[in-house]
Amino acid sequence: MEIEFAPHIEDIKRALDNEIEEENIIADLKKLLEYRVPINEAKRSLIKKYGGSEKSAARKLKDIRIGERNIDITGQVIEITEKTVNIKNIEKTLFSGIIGDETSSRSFTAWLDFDLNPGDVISVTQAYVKNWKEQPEVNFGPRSKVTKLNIKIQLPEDFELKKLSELRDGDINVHTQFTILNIEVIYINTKDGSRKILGGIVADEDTKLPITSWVLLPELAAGNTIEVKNTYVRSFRGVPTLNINESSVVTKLEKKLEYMEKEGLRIGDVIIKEGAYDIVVEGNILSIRPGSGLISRCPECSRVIQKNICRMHGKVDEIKDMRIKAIIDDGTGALTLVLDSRLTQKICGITIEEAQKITKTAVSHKAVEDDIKRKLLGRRFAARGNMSKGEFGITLVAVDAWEPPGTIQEQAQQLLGRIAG
Amino acid sequence: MEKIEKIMDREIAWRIFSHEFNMSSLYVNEGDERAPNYIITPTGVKCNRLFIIGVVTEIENIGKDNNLWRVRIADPTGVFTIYAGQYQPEAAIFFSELNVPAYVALVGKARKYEPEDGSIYLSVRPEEINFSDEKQRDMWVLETAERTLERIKIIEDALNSGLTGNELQEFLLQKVTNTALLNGAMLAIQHYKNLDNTLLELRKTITHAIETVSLESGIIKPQPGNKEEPSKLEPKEVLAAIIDELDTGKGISFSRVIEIAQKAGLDAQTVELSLKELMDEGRCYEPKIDLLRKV
Repeated sequence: MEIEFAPHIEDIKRALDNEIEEENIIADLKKLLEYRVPINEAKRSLIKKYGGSEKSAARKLKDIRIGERNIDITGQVIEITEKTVNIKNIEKTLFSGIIGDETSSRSFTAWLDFDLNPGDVISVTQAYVKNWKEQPEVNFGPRSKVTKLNIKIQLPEDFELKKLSELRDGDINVHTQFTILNIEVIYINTKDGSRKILGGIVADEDTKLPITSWVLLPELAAGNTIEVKNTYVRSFRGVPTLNINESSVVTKLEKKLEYMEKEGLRIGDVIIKEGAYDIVVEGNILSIRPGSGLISRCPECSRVIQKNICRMHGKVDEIKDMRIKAIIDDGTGALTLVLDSRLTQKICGITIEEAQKITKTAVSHKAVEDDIKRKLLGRRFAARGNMSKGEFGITLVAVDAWEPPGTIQEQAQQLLGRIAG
Repeated sequence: MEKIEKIMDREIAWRIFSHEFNMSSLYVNEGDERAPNYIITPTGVKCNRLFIIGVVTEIENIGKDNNLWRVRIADPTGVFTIYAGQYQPEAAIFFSELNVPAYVALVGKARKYEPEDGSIYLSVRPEEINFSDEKQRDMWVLETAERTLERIKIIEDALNSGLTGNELQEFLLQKVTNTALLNGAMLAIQHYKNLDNTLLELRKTITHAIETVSLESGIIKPQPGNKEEPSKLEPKEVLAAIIDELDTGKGISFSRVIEIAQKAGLDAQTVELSLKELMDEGRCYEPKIDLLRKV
């Protein structure tokens, strides 16, 4: 019996730095095993009881797996942003960013302020790995120890030229080319005060993407075609955004990339991406979701409210608004389409005033929603906007929506030709 | 610190012609009773939800105590059977007030009905229903044709590859990103006998369907011997379509409606009667003298 769990005893002793009498450990472990506690859990609880910690194992970033605990990481902070999240109605500040080592790069979340800055090379113990968008993400929690190191890390060299459509949240060392469509100076507030950065939209032959540059470079001007190396990608409002910083290499090219909007995008192909900027989808409206029609908003925070009560600002004078949340589906995929009051008016032909009249006459909150249903359900629409994924599913917030002309003859001939050919 | 629970992706509403739908003979029920039922069609659709635009040709109240409606919706290849009962009140009310023939758009779920005699009937249980029109129907036919042709191509390639089992799955993974379709294609290839012939027949049906909508639009020319082709629209539906077309939100003058209706072959008296019907049904109204607005 003792021989059977001898290796486990060794593990426990090692974890406790051999400071505890072996007999005590054996007695405790036996007892737990008599209670049919699984051996791993028994070991874990004993180590904890004696104040030890499970020895964590060093991992390279390319080898980490979702669900791993107690791992040690050494890497360079490539980017870090402070974020405020709401967990069970408690506001919490955390830090999210990208860390890279010789093998790979991963997104990370630090649940405490470890005073990290881009460029820091750090060693982290007792980190754990969670699932973020189906990718492993390193997490630093209260038990993690972070030490800044005075060494250099050779990040993987990735000089392969990528298309904008291939870029994913968390990519580092990105090498790509684009033409700048528009760009402007933006003032942002950081912990070191106000700061000037550049924000704009760039495109290659088939994809548009937002960019942020943390350095003010003269090459970054509208109309210029640029090659960049050593940039990184982070999602901003659900859309992958290319970031240029101090260590990026920016070169102006003597050519132009002509953007051609992709026509006939399938929703099924769009929704497998993380997010998409300024795309057009077309499909049938298959459902008008509750909360469509005439709604009330808080004048302070624009939250949707009921009976003049905002859950943040108490009793307020509501502002009337209209919106449509609809499912659009083209037979390859479905997503939630959101239309604001301007677009609701455009495609349903009712103003907010008319909507209020309809509600009053019908004495029903649902009158406008029913009217929208009658006008839109089953019909084919096209919409332009940004696609993002979040806790409310896959959403396209429209900047325009219209009924496509439907060139039936043409399409029919084309299809018949395809069958014959 | 818990992971935000992933919202289930909404199931696609598949585009399938009634011909293909009705010849399906494979059914899958995944796990417990509350899991959705699927039918597997010959082109490999693992279908729960589907979307149809067609012509209602028959409405029957077949319920004894409570209302149960059996409705036939035709597309150019055949007919879907729809059942709407007490648990689909909106659809039941919609059908109870509907005059045939009428263009409708319907989102529904595939159902299987097995009476004791061993036969099996496939039907659709409505989730959402609304009026539609000829143009929307034509666009549906073309889209359904395109989607079906894509699926046929996938199955044909799979059959021609001669692969089976895991190798076939690997082969299909190169062509299909949708897991439901991948799964359905594997099942269809295993289940359906003479699948190559079935697909050939389906291609012919699709060609015919495309031809029916590519005829001179505006004037309906029923094809000789095609029983499923919708009959001529009622005058009031023609009028409703005209008003719908011309009213961009500001209304349209009475005289203009009459002028266009006459071009479409309706006499003044019919126009007036039909307009009254439309107003009675609340489908258009007269906010001012000589001004018509759609609702």
